Amino acid sequence: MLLENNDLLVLTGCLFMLSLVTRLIPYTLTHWFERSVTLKKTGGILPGAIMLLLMLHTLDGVKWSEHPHGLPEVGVLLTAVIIFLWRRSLLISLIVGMVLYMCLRQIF
Amino acid sequence: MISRQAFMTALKISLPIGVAYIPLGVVFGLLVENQGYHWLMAPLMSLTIFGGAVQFLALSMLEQGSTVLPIVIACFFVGIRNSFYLPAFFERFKDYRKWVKAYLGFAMVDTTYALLLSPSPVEKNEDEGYCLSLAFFIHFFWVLGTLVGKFLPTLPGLEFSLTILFAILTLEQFLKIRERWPFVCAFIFWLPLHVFLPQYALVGGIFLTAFVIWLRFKRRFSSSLIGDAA
Repeated sequence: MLLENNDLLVLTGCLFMLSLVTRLIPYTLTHWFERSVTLKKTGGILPGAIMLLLMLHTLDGVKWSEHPHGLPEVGVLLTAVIIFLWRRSLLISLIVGMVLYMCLRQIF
Repeated sequence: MISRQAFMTALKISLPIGVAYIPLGVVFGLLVENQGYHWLMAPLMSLTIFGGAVQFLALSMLEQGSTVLPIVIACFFVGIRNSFYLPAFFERFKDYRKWVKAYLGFAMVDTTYALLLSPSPVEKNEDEGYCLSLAFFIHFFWVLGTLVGKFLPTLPGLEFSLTILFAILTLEQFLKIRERWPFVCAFIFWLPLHVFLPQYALVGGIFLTAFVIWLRFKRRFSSSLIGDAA
């Protein structure tokens, strides 16, 4: 047990270093980004694509082929989007979406 | 130095993330304990590693009897996506203090990135305090989630607020750039990866999409240079 905890501590230390390196390394490229128009333009367009990928990624647990075929998820996302277009508030969209999703989970 | 207003605004904006992190943290905390580790290991990992996907991957590989090196390598491929986030804020963080920049870099996870992409809700001179508070709250909620899991019953489905958050931010980005092709491109790369290599669909999708966008701009830019010369 103690040995196992120590193993996990070593691993945690390694992964801490990994987090530091992968997240701070971009700072070493700062001047590169300042000079390259192509990189700046790419940086302007990329976030939208990343947001879409993160959304798809968090939909991983949905079983599309089984009842209710992801209908609550799609329905809630559409509702949240419509509310956002109407009120332009992230917070309102999130709260309404969450409440609706919890209700739908009880029904389906 | 951090105004009350910046601090409270950051709290308000990060609260939905906190709500989503609690059920995720609970699952992680339970996994750590079920594998026979000390329950404090879960919050310790959340504090230092601060990456949900990496933490879950590491734990599941440990369970399969993997050793440290293969775990670190696998986690590298999952965690490398974070490297794409920071450059978006080089301009914004330029004049911030060194330690603030360092912490913001370390805390640049999916949700921090997502929330900071939206226009700052505070005055320019308070933005440093706002960014710092926001990153801190997201970090804090993640640690708290893995800590309280042991003591709190939780409702299923709370983590769906992350999906809603990313969906709305996708829309916000679309309204800003008004171009469809980057999104189509991301989806086309993601789909086959999701089917054949689900573990790497996210990071693979980001890499390939970034490359195609870069290639497109590079072509456009160099062809306009040739045009100028002619």
